[in-house]
Amino acid sequence: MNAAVLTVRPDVEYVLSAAPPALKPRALPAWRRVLQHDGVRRGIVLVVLAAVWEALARWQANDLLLPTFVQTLRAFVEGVASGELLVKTGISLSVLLKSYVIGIAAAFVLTSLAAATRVGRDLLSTLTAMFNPLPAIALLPVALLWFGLGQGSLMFVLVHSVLWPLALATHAGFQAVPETLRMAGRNYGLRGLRYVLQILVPAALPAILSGLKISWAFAWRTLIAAELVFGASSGKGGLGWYIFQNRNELYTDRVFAGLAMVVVIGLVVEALVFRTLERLTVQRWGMQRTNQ
Amino acid sequence: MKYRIPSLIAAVAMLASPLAARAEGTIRIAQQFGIAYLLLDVVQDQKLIEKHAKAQGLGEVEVEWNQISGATAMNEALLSGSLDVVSAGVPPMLTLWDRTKGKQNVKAISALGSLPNYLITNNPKVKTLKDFSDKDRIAVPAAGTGFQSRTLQIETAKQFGKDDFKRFDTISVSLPHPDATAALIAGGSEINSHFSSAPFYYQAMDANKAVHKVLSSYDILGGPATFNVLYTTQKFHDENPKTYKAFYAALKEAEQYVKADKTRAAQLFIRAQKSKLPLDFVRKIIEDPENDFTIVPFRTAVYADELFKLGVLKNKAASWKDYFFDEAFAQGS
Repeated sequence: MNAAVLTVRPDVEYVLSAAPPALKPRALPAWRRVLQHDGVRRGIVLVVLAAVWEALARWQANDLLLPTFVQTLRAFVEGVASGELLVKTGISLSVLLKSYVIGIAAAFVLTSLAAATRVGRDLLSTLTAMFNPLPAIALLPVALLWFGLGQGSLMFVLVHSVLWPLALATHAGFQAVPETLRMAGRNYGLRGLRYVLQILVPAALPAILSGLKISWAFAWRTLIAAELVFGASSGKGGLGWYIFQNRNELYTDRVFAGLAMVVVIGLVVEALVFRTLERLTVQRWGMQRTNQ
Repeated sequence: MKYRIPSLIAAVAMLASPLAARAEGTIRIAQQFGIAYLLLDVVQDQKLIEKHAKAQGLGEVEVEWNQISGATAMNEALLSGSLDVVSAGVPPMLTLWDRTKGKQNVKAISALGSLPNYLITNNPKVKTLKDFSDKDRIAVPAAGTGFQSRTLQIETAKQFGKDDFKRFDTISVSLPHPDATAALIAGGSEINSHFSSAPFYYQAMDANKAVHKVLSSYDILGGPATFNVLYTTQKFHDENPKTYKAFYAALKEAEQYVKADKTRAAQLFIRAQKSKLPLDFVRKIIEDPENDFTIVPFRTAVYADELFKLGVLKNKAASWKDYFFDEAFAQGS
């Protein structure tokens, strides 16, 4: 064979010319850096909306029909300062949280059964198809007949509005769990409840979280509507009752303040509860984009 | 060239019509349910507005009648411009007067009658206001803000002190009169009390012997007092003077019509409201000396003063004439 001849190549240094000035990294101007933050951009949207509202209301000049932003803000601050708005919100939220927890538990039981047995699957798909489209408010008269005027009928209606969307979303999530993960679970000898809790729930978590958000929104809506229709429950009204009573007394600025409180609570729950939950679970595990 | 005649007609039409969006000669009225609105039934059935409008030289008048339940819906319809004249109890009218003072200036046209409202209950343990407990529920058409709730608040302030005037609001439930009457007659419901108006308290007390009266609105107000009134905005009053006068004259004639022959009025009520109540029953109600179908307001100033004291009204009325239009100034209180 031929002996390989190794030619030693001499070292060469290639000197690069300086980078053209256009390519040098520049710091962003200050205003662009400020706009990088999500919160700032959303804040600007809110400020613009408030300004448009104020202008429109002043042009209308009929504060029984459309109070200005400043009047609503004043009514809101007065309501919070006197404690009335906070107490009523607290009453609404306590009923809502109790029903939400019961709804989650019931949905969990139902979907676990559906994941484990064929009967469960039939039961879940039939019940969800029947009851999901039924608005909870339509059940309110029936609930009043069965449970009387107290909190029982409100909770019945709220559990209905939470249970079906959540069961549907959770079931869809469970169905989408890939076969590989299921087999891995069976490899470990996981069965029954442990299988559901340790394999199915984490794998289906994006769908479950989406179901949780939707059913929270449904429950909140149903609660406010039920309080408007239903009136005071066991002598103490909630936020819907506050809105309804102030509309009767023609304090439209307080009506708008009540509506603003509903919006604020929605924003707070979304930002504090759901986004934190997402950050700690699905975003950390790489199951969901982080929206930078 | 070909547009000259149509544009000429348009120009003449524009010059001829006044600046107001609607010409005089239309009036949209709304009433509620019950015999307390008998005068409006007479006006509608006997076409009295059309008659008085012709007598005044106004010509054809278009009258639109509506029937709505609840003072809140009435107030909102008036504010949004869907109706010209609405009818409700004295307290809701005062609330609207209070909120629109200096703006739309809503004021009352006339009363529709002095009728009592009875607080009745089928709970044998309840004889006075102090006997009501957490277990009882009082049905009213509009809890917290309607005629019945405000009257109860005034009495509560008298008996329990001004700071506790909303005490019975926590056990008040909004329910229309017919449903509340049914609940009281059937018994066994959580709703065991009802601040009722005619003819419902007559029906309840006849049908169930356990139902008894706790107090009457006349006791609270110190005598016969106006139950319901008609009211409208300053704009309608000023822009439609002839229609307004025709309407007021029609109401006056309706009062005479009822006073002249009560049986005929009872027949008219049954016909106009398609009521299933027997003629004798309705006649008994109209002939009851407690019920006075008159357009003269009585003791409305009691509401104005008491509700101002409770803080429900922000403006103090110097006299009842502050919240009535001047056509009604001849007589009243």
